[in-house]
This record gives sequence, structure tokens and C-alpha cells, in this order.
Amino acid sequence: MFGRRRDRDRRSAAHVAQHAAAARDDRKVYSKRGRRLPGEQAVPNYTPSISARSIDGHLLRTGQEVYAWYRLAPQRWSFRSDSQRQDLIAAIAGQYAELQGRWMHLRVTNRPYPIRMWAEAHVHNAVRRLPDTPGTLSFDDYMVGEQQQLMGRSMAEKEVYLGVQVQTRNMMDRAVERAAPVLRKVFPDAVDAELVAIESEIDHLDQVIGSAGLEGRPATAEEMSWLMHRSCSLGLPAPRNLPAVPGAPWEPEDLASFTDAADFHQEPYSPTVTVRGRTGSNAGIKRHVAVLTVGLMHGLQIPEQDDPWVQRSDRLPAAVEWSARIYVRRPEEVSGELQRQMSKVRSQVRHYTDEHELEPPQSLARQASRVLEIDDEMTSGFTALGTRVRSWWRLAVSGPTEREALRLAQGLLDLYKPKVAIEHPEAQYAIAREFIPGEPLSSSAYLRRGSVLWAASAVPTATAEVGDRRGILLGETVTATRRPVAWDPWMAQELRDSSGLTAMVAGLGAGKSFLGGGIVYKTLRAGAHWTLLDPSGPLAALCELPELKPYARPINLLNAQAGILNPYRVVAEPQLDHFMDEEDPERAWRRERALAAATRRRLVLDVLSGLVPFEVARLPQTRIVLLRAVRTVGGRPDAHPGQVFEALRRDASEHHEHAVVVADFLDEMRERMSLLIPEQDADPYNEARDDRLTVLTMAGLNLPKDGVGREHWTDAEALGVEMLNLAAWLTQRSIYERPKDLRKGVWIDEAFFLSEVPTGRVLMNRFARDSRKWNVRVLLSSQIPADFLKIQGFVTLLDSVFVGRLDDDNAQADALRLLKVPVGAGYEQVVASLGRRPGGVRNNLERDRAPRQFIFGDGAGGVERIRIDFSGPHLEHLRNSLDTTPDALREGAESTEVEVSSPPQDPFAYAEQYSDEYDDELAADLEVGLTDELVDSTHGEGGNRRPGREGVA
Amino acid sequence: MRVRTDDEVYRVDAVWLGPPKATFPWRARYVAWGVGIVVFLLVTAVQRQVGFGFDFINTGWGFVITIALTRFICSRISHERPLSSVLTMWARELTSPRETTSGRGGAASAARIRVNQQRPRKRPKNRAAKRESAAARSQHRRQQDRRQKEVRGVRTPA
Repeated sequence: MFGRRRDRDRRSAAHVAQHAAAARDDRKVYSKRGRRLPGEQAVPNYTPSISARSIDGHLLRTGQEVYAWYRLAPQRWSFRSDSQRQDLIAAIAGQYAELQGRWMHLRVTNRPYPIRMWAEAHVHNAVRRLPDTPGTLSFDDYMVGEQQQLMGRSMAEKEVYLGVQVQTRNMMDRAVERAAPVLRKVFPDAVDAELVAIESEIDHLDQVIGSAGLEGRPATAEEMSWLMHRSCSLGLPAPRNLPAVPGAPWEPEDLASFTDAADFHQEPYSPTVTVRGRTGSNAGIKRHVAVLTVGLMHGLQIPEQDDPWVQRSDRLPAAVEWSARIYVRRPEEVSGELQRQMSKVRSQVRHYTDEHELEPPQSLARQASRVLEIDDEMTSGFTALGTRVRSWWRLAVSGPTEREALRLAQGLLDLYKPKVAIEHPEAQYAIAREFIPGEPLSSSAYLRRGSVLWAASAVPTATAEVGDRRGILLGETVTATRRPVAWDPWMAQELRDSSGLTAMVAGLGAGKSFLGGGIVYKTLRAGAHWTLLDPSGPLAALCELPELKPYARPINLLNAQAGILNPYRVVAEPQLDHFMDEEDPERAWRRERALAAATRRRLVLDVLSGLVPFEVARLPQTRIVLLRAVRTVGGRPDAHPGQVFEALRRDASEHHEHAVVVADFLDEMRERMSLLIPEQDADPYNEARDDRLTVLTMAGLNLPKDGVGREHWTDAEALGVEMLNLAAWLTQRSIYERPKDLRKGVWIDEAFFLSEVPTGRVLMNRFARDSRKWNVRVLLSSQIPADFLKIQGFVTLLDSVFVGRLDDDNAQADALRLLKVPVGAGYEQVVASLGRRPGGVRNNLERDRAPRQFIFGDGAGGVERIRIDFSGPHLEHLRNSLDTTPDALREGAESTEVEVSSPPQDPFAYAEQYSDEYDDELAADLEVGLTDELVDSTHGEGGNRRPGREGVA
Repeated sequence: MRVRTDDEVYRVDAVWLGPPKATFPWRARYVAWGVGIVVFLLVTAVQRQVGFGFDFINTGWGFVITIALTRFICSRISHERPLSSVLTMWARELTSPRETTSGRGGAASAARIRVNQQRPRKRPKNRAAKRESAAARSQHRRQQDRRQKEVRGVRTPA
């Protein structure tokens, strides 16, 4: 591979040929060796052209040293508080300090994940996908469009490896290794003795590197192979298929599989080194690699102002390889050196002042004070954070032409300006070899000295990753790196066992509907089923998309059949066959039925007390009589609120008069409540339609304004909120009508009302509990994050969060709380600036069509700022249909008649007797909070404990 | 948290201004003086070799050349790139592998292998024939040598 050894190879080849020729005459050779058949040529000895000699597990042996290699865990950097970041740096510095007297080799490489691999994973993941409708965008065309949109992008994953010198090898070790083939037969223990002897040392290193901070774990054989390959073929594209990883240790001969893959060459003093692929998928491919090195560095304010300085290179739109050699020095060695420097400074000062009567340069005074500072750092405190290192940091970028490589190198120089100088040294070939594990340092130029804290503040493991690699494409990250963001909304439930709750919070016009609509459209294509509750109605336009039309149904609930929002029916009745995987299906089913009945009673109570005027509802008697009436009616699914009215009139207790008053109030609203009370013998739930997309709209619903207290709501507004609540329960019901494993989604827009009604929390709990079991993704969107925070325990149930632009200070802080990001650490600014227009175009007549930005917390630890990007030409119809901004000039303002569902009016027969078991019923009551209400109201403490309403008032 | 390197401490510009009280008009680092002395010795040695005599003029020119060379060398070295590492890198540049333009290997060809339809047979014994056959044999050996050379690398039959 590397030309320096080529001569030797050629010589040995010539030697072999000569030997073969001579052997024919010289019988002695045969008799001496004895084993070889006549005519068989001597097998030449193979010496790898790199320093590495063998790899055993994560140990790499060269002729002189043994290195242990570790793979370091990625660390989140963005949206963490400065103290968390400082802790991380200090932890890494502490780990470095423990490695005193050792050499380390830090390698940053990457594993490409091209967009075609995403497409493969996505198609594989898209089970039961939407059948194509002729004449519309087919799934294949859609996938092609998605890939074209991100052409050439990569979701490359940064991989950071750290090699730590375990010990140096002596003559004996090398002799034993040479004699290994013979020794293995005679005295097998001797061969392994070297590695066995350092076992405890390696255990110690494993422990040091594995603790919090670096979080390294011993590199696997596959990772070692990858690292060797990437280093020996520096700058070449990643090999498409690596040779199989052997089960046994790599012997010197096996290392040829790395070294033969490419060779390096350069002209004297050329600015790049040329790497030429020789085997595999890289055969014949040539890359020019520019190797740079880190020069002088200013003081950096690392967590506060500056990025970690190695991570900064991620901003370059190309992969950057890093190789750093770090030697952690022993304190005594450093203090001696410092003294020498000090005396050098002193003698210079004396030379200037005493011998020549001149003013000494200012730099000497500065240097003297810095020496004292360092000395102080090293001797003060009990932590070893003052430990010093000597280090050499090299970077490599590659391009298909020398020009391209140099352009990238210039890009790196500009990126690090002005605080860090990046130098372009000569001897490119020699420095490029340094990237290979086990190679010695080629030149001592550009030595960087500093404390372990300085070395640790490089944080090469800091990443900007968010989302996954198989889901739908949302856009790209816009912080340190530009990287496509994919998100599979069902991965959390299917793989991570977490809930499926997602909050989407953004101000007006910040792109909530656009993002949500995009998610719904793309996941529908990939096989999901969605139910949307959109009170204002623009999302019904999704049903008009030609490829979705056959599978979609918009329903305007306000025009729907009477009884569709019957509180007794919106809570689904549990089916026995859904509990077959439980230990005791029968028992679980009964418990679930009792819970459903209790939920219905709670819901009816909640809805009815929300409908009576606020002053009446506040009275404790109201609560008592309503509760009693609801109890009388029970929790059967075939009941309806009309029966509660009758029960109120029949109330025979001391509150009879009040009960009649309440019943009168409710009867007054009866005609407006037609959606809640089914007509005689008519059940709107009989029809079972298998729609993939159901959009429930309530266009024209009267909803209270933000921040208006419950006591100021009009009757229509109170009814509006209660109907919205029931509609939310209706969407939830749709979950249980489909198989458990099927990917389902529910999106509730304007979800603020959930905090206004007491059953909101019950609904949330149900969503959180069942979203995992039933494989549901629940999207809740609102303009005010406080609406969600008001629901107790909501943040803990939450899986992922999208936060768009919010202008209010409190709203920004609340949004950060939802994201579980530190509040008051300056991230409020980020929320405020998401997708903000530049100031100069305030009076612009053009619409702001720039892609909206969100902060996306994926629930798996990643939080990043992303830009939503559905800009591909194949999604133009989607963009048009999701455009909710009014435009008076739009061509032919379509009058899309909202289809009204008219299910057949079959008589509903709920034959079986509904029986509640007492225990189950009590347990269920406790779960939905009915019993508390009863106790409170009978004690006459003013009944209304609804936190939501109090909060608003 | 302000993090910075310790490099400043090691960048002490150790200069020799001249003997006490006799300050030179220039400031040169100690390393420059060292390089200067070596260069001067080399320059003088080269002058002797070439044939210049040891006189004032020649030594003066030697000084001028030395100063020029020393300035050139010192402009190439700094605290970042000490003399030793500049020399190492220079050596590395010279020994790095070059691109091989001449092809190696290629298709195997059997064109130069001589092929006879008949194997040589024994000739009737007489003097003239003996002499002839001896000549033929020596020629054959030469050709055999050549053939061996041609087909080197091809596995020889046992």
C-alpha cells in the first residue's frame, strides 16, 4: 500500500524467484526444511506496511506498543445548560487526567448513511401502505421525489474512537510474537502471556474510559475493522462491503486486507496527498486529501460562547476526519519544564535590563505571569484538572480533485477564523499516515500544549442528532450541522416502550398546521391510519388530495347525525378479544368495562355541569344532584344524557327542588344539544367504515377567547368547549376500532380545551396508557404551552415535542419546560427567533414563504432546531392544500362542500345486560376521580375543584 | 469558562543582543546564531573546495552568503516549526512515495516461448555430427537460459 515499503516487497519477490530457481539445484534446502514438496516455492514472509502487527479484541499491537481502542458515546450538546456542559467537560478532563504518562490517539471518523439507505429502510418500514390510486402520485414516485429533494445528502453518523496506550513492548514480547507459530505447539501459554499479563491494566482502563464523560466501551471487532479501513483508505468513500470480520485475532498477514485497499502517493511539496483505491467498491477511485493541523489558539469561552472546538468542524458540508495524538504528562515533568522556562524568561529580562540597559519586551512579563498561573493551577485544589498535555491535532478533508480538496481546506480555515489558526503543513503523506492506528507521530511540528481541561473542551463526541433513520423526512437540522431529519412516529412505541404523546406548540402562523399536515400525509402514505380533530376545518382539504380521496372521509360534526357526540358512546366499549394476551383475559376485560362505565359517568357529569350556567354549577347542591342522577342512569353504552334529565326530575332527596331547576336549565339547551342525544332507536355508530383518514371538523363552533375566565363564557361557548371535549373522546374511540398492532394516529388541533375540562386529564392518561399498547401517535397542538402544563403530570407523559415560534416571554419559558430544556439559560431567544423574518422586509408585499423552523425534541434524548422542508416538487399539491393563509386573489376560491356522513339508521340493539362488578366499579371510580368528587361535594366544600377553570379565572 | 493553551509560555524569544554594554544593531535568536555558525563553516569549507583562497575579500563574501542563507533558513522556522521538525518534514517529503507511471504486471504473454513440433532425437554417431551436435547443444543451452528468463514467474513443472 504505502510506497516506502514497496521496494522491500519487490526485493522479497525477486528473492523468492531466485530462491525458487536455486532450490532446484540445491537439494540441501529441501532436506533442511524437509516439509516442502519438490517444486513448491518458498512462501515469502509478509510484513505489513503499517506499524500495526496484530489486533486482539480491542487491543492493537505494534512492534513497540499495545493500544486499547474504545468507541466513545455521542453526547448531546445543544439545548443543555452551561452547567451541564461544564460538568461534561470536567468529567472528560478528569478521565484524561487519570491517564497520566500515557499516549492517546483520538480518531474521529464517520459512517455514511446515504439517503438511499434511508429510502430502503423507509420502504421496508412502510407496512400496509396506501394502495396507489391510478393517475395520482404513486408511492414509488413519492419515494423518488423524497430522495431527489435530498440528493447527495447524508445522515452520516460521526464515530469517535480513542486509543489509549496500555504499555510498551519489550524485546521478549516481540521475540515471542515472532516465534508464535512454533511456540503455540510447544508452549501455548507463552504466546498469550503478554496479553494476559496486562489484563488488570486493561480492566482499569476500561473502567476509566467507560465512566461518565467519555462513556467509551471497548471497540468491537467490526468497529476495529471499520476504523482500520477508514484510516488506511483515508478520504475515499466508505466501502460498500467490508470483508467479513474474523472470529480469531488478526495476524500480520490479515492486516493486508486493510493496507491493500488503497495506496497513497504525492509529489514533493504538493499541497495534497493522493489516495487511490485498489480493491472492492473503491477500486480505481482517486481522492485528493488535504491534511491540516491545528495551530495557535486564542482563549475560547467554551460552553458560553464558542462551540467545542473539534465539534465546530461539523459545520463544514463535508466529512472531516480528525486524528489527535495526546500525551498526558506527569506533573513532575511539567514543573521541571516550567522552571526552565521561568529561568529562561528571567535571564532574558536580565539580559535586556542589566547587560544592555534596554526595556524588555512586554511579552516576557506576560509569559512570566502565565508560568506562575500554570504552576498555581497545577498545585492548587484536589482535582487533577491542572494536569498538562502535549498534543498534535490533525484534520483531513478530501475531494475528487486537488482543487476541491483545497477548497474544503480553505473552508475549514475560514470556519475556525479568527480564534483558531488552522495550518497547512508540508509532508502531507507523512502526516496522513498518522491517521492510521498504531503509526508513530510523523513530525513534532505544531505541538499544542495545554491542560486536560483544554483538551477536554474539544468535545469531539458532541453531536447534533435528532430523529431516527427510517421515518418520514421532516426537514433538516439548522444548528451545528445540516443533516436530514427523519422521524418515525411509531418507533417510540414499537422499540423504546415509551408513550406516543407529542405536543406541538407554536404561535399563530408559525407553521403548526403545515407540519402536522405533512406528518399526516407522509405517514398515511407509509401505511398509518389517522383521525384528525380540527375544529376550524382547513385540514379537511387533506381529504381532497387525489391520492388520499378514496381512503379519506371528512365529517363536519356540527352537521352530523344526532347523537354522534353522545357522551355514553364516545367512550369505546372494550372487546374481550383485545385482552387475550393478559394473564386473566376475562378479569382484565371486566375491569376495563367497569373503567369505561366510570369514565362515561364522569364524562356525562363533567359535560352537564359544564353546560349549566357557571353560577349554578358552582353550587354544591348542583354537583350532588347531578352526580346522583348520573349514578342512577349508570354507565351503559346505550344510555344518553336525556335519561339523566329524567333522573334529575325524579330526584327524591332533600335537593329535589334544586334538581328540577338544574333539569330545567339543561332542558332549555336541549335542542342545541341534539348532537349529544340520539334520536329514538337510532345509533350513529353502527356503520363500520375502514377509512385511513378521518377528519372531524367543527367549523362554526363558538369557542371562548384565550384567557377569558369560565365565569364569563356564554352558553354557546360553554357548549362549544364541551362538544370539543366530546369530539376529542370520539377521536380517541377510533383507536379501539382497529387492530392493536396497526399504526394509528390521532391529531387534536386547538387542544387547549383539554386543560379547561376536568376530563381532559383523564383523556390524557388514557392516551398515554394506551398509545403504547395500541400503537398510537397522539399529536396535540396548541398556541399556548401553558395549556399543556396545566394538565397535571402531562410533561412526564410526553414523548416528543415540536416548538415553533412564540413571542410571549412566559410562553417561551413554558415551551422550554415542555422540551425539558433548562429555562433561563438563554434558549428563550432561540424560541423567539425561530423562522423570524429579517427586519428589513417588514413592509414586504410578498408573503413569507421561508420554511418554518421548530425545536424538535424526539423523546430519545435529541433536541435540535430543525427546518421543516416539504419543498420537493412532488409535494406541491400537498403544500397548496395545507396553505391556510387567506388569499383573496386566489383563483376560483373553491367551495368545497364538506361531506356529511349519513350512516344508515339501523335500530340499535344492545341486548346483553350490562353488569358492573362492585370492586371493579369502585376501582374504576377511583381511577377517573369520581369518588373524590362525591366525597368533596357531600362535604359541601364548594364542589368545583376543577383546576383548569380556576386557573383561567 | 475560558480555556486556553499553554503555548505562550513556550514561545519565549531567546535573543542574544551582543556582549554586555555592546548592543548589536540587530536582534537575533540564539538559534539563528547557531545556524549562522554552522552555515559559515559550511560556506568556508565549500569556498576552500572550490579553490578560493583564505583572504579578506573571500571571507567577506562568505559572511554575506552566510547572512543571506541564515536569514532564509530562519524565515522558515518558528516556535511552531522548530528547525528539527522542518528538517524532518523535509526528509519526509523526499522519501514519500511517488506516483508510479510505468505499468506493472499486465497480461501474460506466451509469444516469446519457442515452440517446436518435434522433440530433438538422437543423431547417428560420427565425428562431424558430434561436433555439430556439441555446437547445437551449446546454442540450445543459451536459448534455454533465455527461455528461463522469459518465463520467470510461471510455475515450473516439478
